[in-house]
Amino acid sequence: MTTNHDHDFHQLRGSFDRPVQPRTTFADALRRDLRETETLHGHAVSEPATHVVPQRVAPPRPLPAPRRREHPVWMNIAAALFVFVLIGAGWWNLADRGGDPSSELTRFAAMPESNASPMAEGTIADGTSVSMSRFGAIPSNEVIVTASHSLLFTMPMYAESGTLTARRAATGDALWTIPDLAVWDITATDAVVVIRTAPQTGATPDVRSTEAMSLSPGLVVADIGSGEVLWSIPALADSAYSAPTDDAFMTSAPVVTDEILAVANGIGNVRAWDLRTGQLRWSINVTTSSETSSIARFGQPFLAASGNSLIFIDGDGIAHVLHAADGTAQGTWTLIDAADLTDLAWLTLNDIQGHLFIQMAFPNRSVLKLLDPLTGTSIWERDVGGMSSLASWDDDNVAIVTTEWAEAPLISRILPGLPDGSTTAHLLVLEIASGAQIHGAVQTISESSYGLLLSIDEGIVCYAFATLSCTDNYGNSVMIDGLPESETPYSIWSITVVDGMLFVGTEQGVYAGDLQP
Amino acid sequence: MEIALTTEGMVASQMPTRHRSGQPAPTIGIDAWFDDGLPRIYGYFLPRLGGHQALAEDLTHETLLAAIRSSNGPRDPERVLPWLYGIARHKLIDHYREKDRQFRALGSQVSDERIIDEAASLPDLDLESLPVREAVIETLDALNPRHRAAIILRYLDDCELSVICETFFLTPSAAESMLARARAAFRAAWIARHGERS
Repeated sequence: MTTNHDHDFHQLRGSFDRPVQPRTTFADALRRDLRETETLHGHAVSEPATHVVPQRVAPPRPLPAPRRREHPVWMNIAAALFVFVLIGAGWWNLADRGGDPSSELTRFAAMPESNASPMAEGTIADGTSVSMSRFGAIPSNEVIVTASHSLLFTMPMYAESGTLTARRAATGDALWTIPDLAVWDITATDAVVVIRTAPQTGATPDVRSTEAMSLSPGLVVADIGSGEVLWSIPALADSAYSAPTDDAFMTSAPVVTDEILAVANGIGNVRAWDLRTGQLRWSINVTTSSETSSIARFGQPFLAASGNSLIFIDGDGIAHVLHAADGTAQGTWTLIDAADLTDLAWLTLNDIQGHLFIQMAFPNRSVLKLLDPLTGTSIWERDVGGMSSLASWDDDNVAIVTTEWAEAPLISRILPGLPDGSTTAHLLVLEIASGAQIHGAVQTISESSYGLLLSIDEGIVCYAFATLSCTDNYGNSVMIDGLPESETPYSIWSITVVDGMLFVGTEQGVYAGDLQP
Repeated sequence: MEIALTTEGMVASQMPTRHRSGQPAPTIGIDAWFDDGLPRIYGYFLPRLGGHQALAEDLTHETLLAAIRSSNGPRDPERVLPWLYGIARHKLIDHYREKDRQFRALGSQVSDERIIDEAASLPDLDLESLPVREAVIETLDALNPRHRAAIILRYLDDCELSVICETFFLTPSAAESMLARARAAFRAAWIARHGERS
């Protein structure tokens, strides 16, 4: 499809497909890697270079359009009738399902002196501003930890310095603050809060600099009750890492057990410190893979904890099980077949209640798996339609959203001007123990739906597409009342449900309210 | 030395398929294509990743490693480059999806209705000039991940709108609207940097 307004953009075609010679060191290292891999796989047949016929180069062609299923006419008519019946029955929209709301929010007010209001402004070169506030962890119903800062270049690793504030969840009163922290992410227990600090700070960093990408994140560990900083490491990628490559600087999110705090990096170094004192307990390299840990969550190496063990996934898809106390190896298992890796659109790993939860997204379907992290044994596996994106979980259930393209009924497709299909989001709530579906619902995603947010706790799942909605495990909607009219759906940056409370981070501040089914 | 894509280019029927016998199918060794293929694949990624050398190297590495690991590469030397470009395209789309996911997961929402302005247009650009090409790359890099991907897929790679739909799970009308916003954002960023004239 073309428009009348894009003629000036067609001049761009063909000007960005020129060969560029990469750095010699990169080319040499890559050639070595490829030769080793070729030898390992042992299936290549060497052909002399002269066999390649010199001809003219064209840029890559576009990928083929997605294949659509063709349905017989009777099926389209039946589908149209079915949809008509659903609409008539009031089943169409999740927010309309389930009868009367069981309760209303009793309080929904802006927290006083919220440090997220107004938002800090970050400035990128040439005056482009990117700003957001976001929640950190909420370790209990009593304390909520919020981080207010700016993001540069839309990536947390480029966060500017801001203020970390712990608040009393019931009132929003500030308990303690830690200023001048560039927060990448937050982990917490009942005793401590662990902050991975962003490596790039400053008002106007050159975010395109490869040097900036190689700066190191740090760690700050503070007492959850008082905010006292117990220990900190300014730069994780210090001399302990012998290979100063980008992969060495890209770290996993910190993993906390009862006694230790561990971090892994992209070249397989795993280090563990005493959680309370910061003393280095052990440091090892668990993989000889020459490949970066490409099996990663949000582009970061994946490290998870299960009981007294740590599980690190290396770039070859091998799970290394380590004893958390001393780093000794407990075994390995294969997470996923290497051939599948090539076909995957993406792979998401989550550590859910000590299990590994995998969302494998293929072009037209997703597979969910729950694995025993110590052995790789599948606890359950479930094939769901569409692409699986977000996940949120509590003690018993995991909520996921899948998106799927659905072809419109025949009547819509043959009439001009009507859409021939639509993208829908499916909200699924599954029991963690069995994978059984608790309830499912469908809501059409609007064009502005990206920024989808999802949070579940104790049987209530809240989600924000174009609107903010909450429902219980039976599909009954839970009314949300009291959000000021000045807040539009687009200003909601984060939602968190915990212990019957809903916290909403917006451009204007942090709001909180009770959710009682 | 230049190597041609075949007339079919990268259509799905020519993408590698797994060998049915389960045994690895013979492929062409890296000596046959590395010296010529590396700068092409690297040169494909570099402008599409904002000129980030490290990122372009990573994706080039991933692409060529995936090619080597594949047990079903083409036996015809003429098919090697289209095959490599096909893998590279998939890697690039995966990268854009990942960036978009990070963008969304962090709660970054762009209320970009305000930037639609189809009245303005880009000046004629001398794209044979390296500084102009670099300026285009810098401008692309200033866009949000979704807009950047839309411009690159639609105009640099000449993809059909359906590819953008598939990449970001949008309906055709939603993809068209998003593309219009991406164009407007690019024009605004270009004019802010370089004025009305190049």
